[in-house]
Amino acid sequence: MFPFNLAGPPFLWFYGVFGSLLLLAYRYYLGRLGPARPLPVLSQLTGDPYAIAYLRSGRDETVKLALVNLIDRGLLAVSGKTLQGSAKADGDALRRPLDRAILSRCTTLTTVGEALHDGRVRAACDDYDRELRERGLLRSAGEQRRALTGAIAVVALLAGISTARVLQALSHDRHNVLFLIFLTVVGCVAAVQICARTRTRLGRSALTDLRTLLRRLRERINRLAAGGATNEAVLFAAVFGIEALPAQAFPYLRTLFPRSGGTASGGDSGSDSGGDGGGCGSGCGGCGGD
Amino acid sequence: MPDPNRSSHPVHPGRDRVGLGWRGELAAAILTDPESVDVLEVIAEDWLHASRREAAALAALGRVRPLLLHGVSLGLAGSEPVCRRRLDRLARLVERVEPEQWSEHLAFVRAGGIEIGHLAAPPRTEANIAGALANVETASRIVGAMPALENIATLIDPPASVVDEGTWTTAIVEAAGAPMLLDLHNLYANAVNFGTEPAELMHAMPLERVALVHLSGGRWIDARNGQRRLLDDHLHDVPGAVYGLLENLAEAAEQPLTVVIERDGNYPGFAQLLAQVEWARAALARGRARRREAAPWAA
Repeated sequence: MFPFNLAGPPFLWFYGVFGSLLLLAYRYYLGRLGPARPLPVLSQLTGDPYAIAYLRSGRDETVKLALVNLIDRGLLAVSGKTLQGSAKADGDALRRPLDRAILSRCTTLTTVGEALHDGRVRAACDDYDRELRERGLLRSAGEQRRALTGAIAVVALLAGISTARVLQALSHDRHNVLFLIFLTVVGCVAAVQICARTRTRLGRSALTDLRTLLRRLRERINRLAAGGATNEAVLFAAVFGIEALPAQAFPYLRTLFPRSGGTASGGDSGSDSGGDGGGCGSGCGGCGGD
Repeated sequence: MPDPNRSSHPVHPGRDRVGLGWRGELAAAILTDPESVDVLEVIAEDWLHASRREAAALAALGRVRPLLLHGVSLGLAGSEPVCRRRLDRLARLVERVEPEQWSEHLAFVRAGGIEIGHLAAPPRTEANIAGALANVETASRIVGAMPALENIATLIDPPASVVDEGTWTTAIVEAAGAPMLLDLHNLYANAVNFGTEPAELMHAMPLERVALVHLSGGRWIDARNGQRRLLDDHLHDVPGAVYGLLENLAEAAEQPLTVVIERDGNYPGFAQLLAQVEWARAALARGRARRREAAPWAA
């Protein structure tokens, strides 16, 4: 039975099932990319919550978390929608290059958007990208290339079959092809989205473990206090996003990071988009998150 | 087939260790500074219904720090056979998480399908000892590892008892061949509530079998007869007298001890909890030093 001999509705069924299976196979293929590695030890991640933020949601979220951390520790002062290093800020005394880069940028009044797009700040985030790829939590460049090749193959197959069918229909003077085009677009978008998830199986596993272990703290969110005495709040925000921090203890969050403020990629909401999508930016076009 | 007479892992790690009870409220603080504790104790009942994915997260925690699983609902010293379904769930959890040791209380928690919602002391009789031994045997066979058995606190002296707490506990722990989880605040509360010297009660316990130790705090409450009772509520700091008992225990016991500080609410800052961990380490070190002084050839 040749699919192009099928009538309209049966062909749509065929196309839907074929596309779904193709996407599942692609997803399975991506899950098996890369060498087998032992499961990561969580404390290697929790030692630096910025790495978790990067793994969860990429560069912008990492910078936002660093801003919250520096504000919480009194090293950055908030004035309306701008930030500036406080009198006690001593960038050289800070351990993390990202903290130093941000304080260096915030010697004058700085908006969140300016901090997010600062070259030194972005370069400091690249360290996390490199580190997570080396640990196998984000796809390596080679794995990302293979993921991209796979995405292109899936899109080409879906679009090719669809185009051939549309041409066949038009040659028979049939114009009811909109639903097929809709299915094609949905399939292609799904393939691109799967490709854009740069977290590996290990990365997803580590993040899920952290979410599970910290879930009860999320249910008792008001226990988290501001003041930077411990890293608790920073770790919590790294895992669940800064939006999950209690507004009473962190009142500046709404002003600095309005949900609809359009400050780049924004929070997490449990998405699986992982990393920065940077590796996919080598040619994937819409795959990248940044 | 695991040997039910053995713990899931060697119970003696070779050195004294001090850790904390894993609670959701403390999770982020512990994960940001896991090296500050040697071991973590997880309440088994919090994870009995865990999915495979959730159990994997707990196993991941076990790769950060050695895990102990602590049961609170089996009722090993109850008058009825221990619930098979709970044991099956516990066995599955132990298999997935591979804790270093699991433990349960020598307590009575249900009868006739009614849960009393409390760890109660049963009458200390020969029949109760036999029932507890049967339950321990069943539990260790199904779970695949022998539990450490914990003494409990009680506000009333169990009626109809024919033996004292030390004799009763020793009879069960030794006949079962189980390690003991000695809760020093439970022991301290029972001693002061019923007019016994805490050190005397401690030495009535099978100290050579103590592998795990619990420390916690409590508060004084008024009893009906105008007397006062110490309630073990896990909501307060560990009192100094309990550190003193730990020091005595470290002097008396030859084997390494794993100490867990339990806190179930009214949480202080994490630094304050870590200070208690340090005090426990210091008490252990003092006790060990006294032991070396008393018997230098043993060291």
